[in-house]
Amino acid sequence: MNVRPGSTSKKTMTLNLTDAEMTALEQLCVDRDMSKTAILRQALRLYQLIDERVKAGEKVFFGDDLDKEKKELVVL
Amino acid sequence: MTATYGVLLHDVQLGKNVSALLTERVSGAYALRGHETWEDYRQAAMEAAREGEAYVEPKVLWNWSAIHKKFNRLLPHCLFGVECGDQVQGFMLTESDKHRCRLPDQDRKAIVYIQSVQTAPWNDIRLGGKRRYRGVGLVMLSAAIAQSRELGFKGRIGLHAIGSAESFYERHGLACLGVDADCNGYKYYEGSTAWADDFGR
Repeated sequence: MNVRPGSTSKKTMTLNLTDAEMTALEQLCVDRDMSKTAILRQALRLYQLIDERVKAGEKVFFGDDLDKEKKELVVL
Repeated sequence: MTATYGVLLHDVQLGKNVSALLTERVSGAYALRGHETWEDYRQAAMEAAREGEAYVEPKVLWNWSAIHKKFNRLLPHCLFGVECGDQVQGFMLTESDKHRCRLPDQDRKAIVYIQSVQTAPWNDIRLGGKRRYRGVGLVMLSAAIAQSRELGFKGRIGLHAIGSAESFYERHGLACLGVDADCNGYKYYEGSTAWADDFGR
């Protein structure tokens, strides 16, 4: 079946990262079993989602089951 | 950005496969047209049911136009539609940010999650009518796998199935990870990279 969503034309860009940023990116690639491009595209999707919701007046919190205290994530 | 791809559906009346068009990131006009056509059909079917025709209301009624309005600007969400015979034959909403794999050998890896998928009411034999097209579910599964690959998720997909759809996913080999108490008690299904590689062969 000829189904190839997402294969629309893409733009290419060069990205300059520090050693620390590249190390973090490479670690995420290993942890998530994804390529560097896939990690950065996923990061963009998440950033846009959070940005839209914050712009709409919502807040983002971190919390866990043990520590009931919630910490707000401030998106710059 | 909207993109379209040629796919095949099976025309039940003609008894053969026919060309259809899969659209990724459908427009608002597309979603509204689909919603209105489906709603008109549903109203007519309910009217006919009062005269004795067979019709069962679907358990879940999604407003695909409202879904489009809610999610269309967000990159993690993607609304697909498949058209054939000048009518929208199915919709599917996927998301790629919130869910993680649950199968032990791919635990916590990124996944394309099928948030909702529906065939047009005239294709759904559970509603009592005569089916016009078959294959919408397969097209949508293929689209989700392709999207997963394109995003770098290696074909991994997941979904929660409403009871009557469970047999479809089981027939196509998705792994059932049991009832999910956090999702209305629906069963959770997942497709691995290996499953995706075998799918449609």
